[in-house]
Amino acid sequence: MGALLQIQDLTVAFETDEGRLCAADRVSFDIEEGEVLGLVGESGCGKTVTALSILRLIPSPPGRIESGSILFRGRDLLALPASELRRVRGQAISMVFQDPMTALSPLHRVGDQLVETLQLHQKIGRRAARSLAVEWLKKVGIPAAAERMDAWPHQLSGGMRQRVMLAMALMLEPALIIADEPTTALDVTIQAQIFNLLLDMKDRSTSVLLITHDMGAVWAMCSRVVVMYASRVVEAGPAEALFRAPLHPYTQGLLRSMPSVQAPGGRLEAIPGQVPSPLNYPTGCHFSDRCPKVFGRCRVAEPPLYTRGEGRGAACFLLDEAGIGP
Amino acid sequence: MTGNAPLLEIRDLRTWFPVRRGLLNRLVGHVKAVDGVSLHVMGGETLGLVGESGCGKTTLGRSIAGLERPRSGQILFQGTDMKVLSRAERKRAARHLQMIFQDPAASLNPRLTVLDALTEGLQEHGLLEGSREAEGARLLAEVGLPPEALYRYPFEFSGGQRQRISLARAISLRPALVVCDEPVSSLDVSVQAQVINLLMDLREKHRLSYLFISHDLSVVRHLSDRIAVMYLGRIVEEGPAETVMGSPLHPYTQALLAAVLAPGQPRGRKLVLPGEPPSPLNPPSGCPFHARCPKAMDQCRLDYPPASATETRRVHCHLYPPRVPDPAPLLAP
Repeated sequence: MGALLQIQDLTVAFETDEGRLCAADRVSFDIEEGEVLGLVGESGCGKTVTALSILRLIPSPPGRIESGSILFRGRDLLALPASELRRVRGQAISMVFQDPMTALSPLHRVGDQLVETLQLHQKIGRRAARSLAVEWLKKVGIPAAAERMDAWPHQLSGGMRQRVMLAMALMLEPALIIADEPTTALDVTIQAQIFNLLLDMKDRSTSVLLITHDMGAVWAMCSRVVVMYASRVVEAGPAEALFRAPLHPYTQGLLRSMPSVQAPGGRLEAIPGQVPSPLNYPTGCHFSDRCPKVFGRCRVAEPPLYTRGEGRGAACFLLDEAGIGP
Repeated sequence: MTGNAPLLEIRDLRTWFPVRRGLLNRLVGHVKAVDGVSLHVMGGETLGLVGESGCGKTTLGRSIAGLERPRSGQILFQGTDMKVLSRAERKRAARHLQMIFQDPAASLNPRLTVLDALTEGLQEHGLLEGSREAEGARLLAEVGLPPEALYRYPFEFSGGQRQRISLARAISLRPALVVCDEPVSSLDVSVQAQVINLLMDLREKHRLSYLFISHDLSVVRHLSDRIAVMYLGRIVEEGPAETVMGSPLHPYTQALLAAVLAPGQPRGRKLVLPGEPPSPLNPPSGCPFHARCPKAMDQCRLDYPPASATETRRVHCHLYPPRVPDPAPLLAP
């Protein structure tokens, strides 16, 4: 299967009072047809900015996509005229946000919002749109779907609202769904319901870009993983291989620092220090000030992505077989 | 503190919130956030309290810390019923019982420097020995922060550092029990592990007991000696951490564990519970879990299941024969 979406050297920066803040620094990765790709990292690592750039939703000013390209089925979304971009949004690529309350209009009934979305993108009568919307509310597991059409967003629980958002994103049957922390605000039993819905979509050959800070969610859901740290991609590869033997010291630290439901509690192997501010990244490798395996070269030069077999790669000088080691 | 008497004992506690509606502000019902909970925490022990949002775990923690007024039941701390104490006595007892919250930004006064926040309690209780600066610096050292932090304000710190500061403040009064309400839930993974380690270090050094409230089963498992599972205002299962997580008895605990996403757990589709927790304003009859329970029987719709208990474990589910009833509440509700 080929790549549905190719992000190449995407750089996004924000103008702030304290200077230029680079939120995504030459980010590159592909999303294949019909796969669930996990984009994982801690808050501020640039994963949401990357996702928003795909649909050109970065507020500008202060934000600016400085360079790079985002090819969707071979066409550069960053070069598309506004009218064509509108057709891509929602219809070909749709997005589910962490907080459905900010994505749904509080002033319109749930049903009206669904019907409006359908009519905006498809030639469909109001009555037909309404019955299609009810059908999708049922598919995402909303009980008494027909009655819920008349509900206001605030009358629904967080889980219900997220399901309405999912119905809205899914009913146009897009080729790609970008889900930005779709379950972070939800309870674990509701999270499991939402994730099963996303897996259903994958089975219908929709691709999913799952953005999350939760390595457990990535493990459960994704076939491939891209790890970001401090605005850069530090590692990418198939999930099984990456979890079995992570290449980058950051990925290794992230996995080791997780408490487990099975193991009895000893001290956790925490990563020392904290994520640096984007205004104050260390020179060289951005992880160099926290890395247990740091050596001279890491503090002066930026490591490129060294590739390994099975489509794996990591941006770490430890993988540079030709170069000067520690 | 060791011995056989529990440090904290809760008997048949109920904390309800009145719901008023309409023009006349009429009482239309109660949100039964905590509805008949009995639990205990031994000296030096960590009790994990897990459950989903709205199950009442935070209200239970706040009731124990004296931040909510229970409707009925008893809270015995170090053997004393907090309710019968005079104001002054309660203040003295309360310093042994501290609470930290999920959002340290909201629990630290933004206008107080770290020095003020850390020594305020000590001065209030007349426990300050030596200078405020020396005591503040000592407390900061305990939580791994440099003494320069004393003269800064909460907003100048990251989430993890702020949680360290609120921990320093909590231990400043040398408490026996710290109620921790989702203390690491808003932290990034790499920082979360640091704060978990700090919680473990402080527990060992000061022989602290924790009531550790969280929705995250992995974190609770990591820190707890015993675990209680709460659903819609009630404890549905309780026991040693190993056995509750290793061989859960209640169908709700089983479902919670099946939904855990973690490396090493099965990948892909999860067995899911249908629906959502019912409203605590209008709890269903019988077992509150019956509408979502894959194993529900007719009896579950009618009667609240009595405890089926052994020496160390307790479950409220009709699948298990009733054994050793709950200790009778000392005060009628």
